[in-house]
Amino acid sequence: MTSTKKTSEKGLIERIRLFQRSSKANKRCADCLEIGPSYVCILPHNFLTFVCTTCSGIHREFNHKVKGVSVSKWTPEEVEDIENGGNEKANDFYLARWTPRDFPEPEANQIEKIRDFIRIKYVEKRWVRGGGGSSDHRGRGRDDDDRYEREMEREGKRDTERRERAQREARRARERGRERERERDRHGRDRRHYDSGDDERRSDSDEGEKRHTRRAKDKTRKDRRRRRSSADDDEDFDVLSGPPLSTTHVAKSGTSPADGWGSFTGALAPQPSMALSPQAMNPMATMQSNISLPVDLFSEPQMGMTLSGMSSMGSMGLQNGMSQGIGWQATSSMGMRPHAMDPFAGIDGIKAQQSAATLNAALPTNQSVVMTGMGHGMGVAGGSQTGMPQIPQTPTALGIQQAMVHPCGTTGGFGGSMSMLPTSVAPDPSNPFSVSSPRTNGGLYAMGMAHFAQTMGAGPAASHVIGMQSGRMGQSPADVTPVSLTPSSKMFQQQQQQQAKQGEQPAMFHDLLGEFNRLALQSTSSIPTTSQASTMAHNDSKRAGGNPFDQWTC
Amino acid sequence: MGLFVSELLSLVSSQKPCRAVMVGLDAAGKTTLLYKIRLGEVVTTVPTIGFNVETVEYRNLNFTVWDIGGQHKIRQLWRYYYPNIDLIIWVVDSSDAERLDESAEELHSTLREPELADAALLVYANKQDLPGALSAAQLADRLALNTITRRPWFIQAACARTGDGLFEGLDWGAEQMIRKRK
Repeated sequence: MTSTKKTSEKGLIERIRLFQRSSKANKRCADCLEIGPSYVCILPHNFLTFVCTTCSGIHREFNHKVKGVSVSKWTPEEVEDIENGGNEKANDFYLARWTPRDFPEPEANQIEKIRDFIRIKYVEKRWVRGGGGSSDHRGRGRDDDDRYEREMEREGKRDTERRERAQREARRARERGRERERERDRHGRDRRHYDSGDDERRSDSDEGEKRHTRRAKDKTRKDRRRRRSSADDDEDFDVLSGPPLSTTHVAKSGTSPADGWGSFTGALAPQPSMALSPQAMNPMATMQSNISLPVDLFSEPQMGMTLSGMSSMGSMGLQNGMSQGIGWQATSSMGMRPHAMDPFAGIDGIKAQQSAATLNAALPTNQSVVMTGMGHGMGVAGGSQTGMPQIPQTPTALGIQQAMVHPCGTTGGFGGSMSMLPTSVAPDPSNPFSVSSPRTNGGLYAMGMAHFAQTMGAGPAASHVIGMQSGRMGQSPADVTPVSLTPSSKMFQQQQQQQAKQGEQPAMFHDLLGEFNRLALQSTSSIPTTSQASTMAHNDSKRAGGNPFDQWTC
Repeated sequence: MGLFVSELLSLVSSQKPCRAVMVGLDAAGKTTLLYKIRLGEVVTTVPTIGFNVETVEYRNLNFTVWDIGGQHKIRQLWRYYYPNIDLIIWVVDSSDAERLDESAEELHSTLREPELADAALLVYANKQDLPGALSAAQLADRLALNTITRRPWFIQAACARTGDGLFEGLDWGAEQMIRKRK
């Protein structure tokens, strides 16, 4: 019985995947340029689109219902609906009058743009067939919409639900009237801007490529500008400080590692001549004089110096050992911060230095705001597959393998908790919403909770690496608890780097999640969240390693 | 010596964190709620696969809140977060009347877990800002909260986007924790 149910469940997911594979449009997110969408937007009922993780999150903001293909329970009706929907149908309707010039399809990381796009596309229905965008054609657009929805609907029950939702949406749309107007104005202005200035925008075909090249061009332009400005800075520096500081001399001629280090420390010490110049007070100036500063890594006038700085740094790292090398980097980037216009330039610079020095130091990840999702998912998966022997008892040490071993259990009935005790549900006078219940059995609790830090297998911040990092970032929340896995191993450093590449995590669990990510990345080379999940669901070891979208060409 | 003193101090001053697990159906607003409490801002979320965890200090208590993904097939992972939990935070989408029964079912099956026998239950009736949202009293009824007699429970109307009601709920949670420790 259970097995047949399982296979049929599995069969439903297979059907969805099969359908997704059958159309090229379904292999790409319906609302952005991401490939391999793993969620389906199933409500409002005429969407039935395949969307990526990011877009699914944004659809939820609009109260659209999304379901993960592999992590949800599907009913045959839903699957049938999906098979009759899909990205092509939905976009035929919702993007009938859309051209990339109206609103270029956003990239997966442009969250604001995706939000705007989804709002205009589905809520304002600006581009729907028959024209729903302008207020004159509003009524007609709605009719069309209704007809389309009628095509899509199957059951009466759903019909009413859908209508309710449609009404709600209509109400909200009306409320947003003013906002829409503003949006349209802005949009119109944008369009005019494109028309007047940018011919590249006009070509609609292969606009993705064009955009890439454009961006690349922009970047080069920006880089050039930055380089120029840094060169300007350099000139300013010379002009302002009159005769060049001694440290500058040392740096520019400093080819030996000893010189580089010496000049660095020397620069940190207060010098009367430096104090005279405003530039000299700037840590940036100090750095320019000494080491391969990230910002001027690529500036033409200083190329020779940069190279020498890098080499000196490299041998320094080797000489002084890793920990000192890290400390040095941390200090340098800290000093750089106030001056550098682009924080990422700093990171790049550090990377470059790292490669030069063959150091495995930790890269900074300096955001405390968190995106959930893939990283975490992988975390669970990774933790499961290798286990986390140092952390017994933590919820995080659980995992999918275990989940597979232990069947999902909903055992027993409601009997145990049922009772006829009269429990009054009375509104709390202080809060119109809250309902208070008689507090029963307040004293029943045992005090058996594990100290959090203990459970996490932590101690005091175990390493200077971490200390340096947070010092450098200066952005971690105040209450970062000193939870860290022992970072003595090389693996720790690797995971730190992966962490930095993968994106930001909560600072607090930075280390732990990093470890998880590392493990997950070890076990699966790409990032197949969905396939991980389906592994969990079906105990299908074949699928564990592969990305379901590998074989697709999009 | 210094270590000893600091340990002694930490025994006196800081309290053990209260471990809370935040569960509920998918798209109930758990992650948004967590980060609204933690950061005071509405973050852009994606469906949680796995978990988020944050510590929240409130009324001199440290809450460690585990926010666990609620999609159907990953609900079976919830149980691994249950050991030593003091507070269950159940988040329900008040505007999703269609899935209230599912939520009630999941809630009661969660409450049957022996490891959660000592945990208090705080229900956030989230998304009160949406049209058609049920009131906390209606939800208490639909979720059959009045059948829960073996643990303290509390339902709080809330809106994670605006932050309404979040700290009122935590207030109750903190009160329970203080009572429990006495």
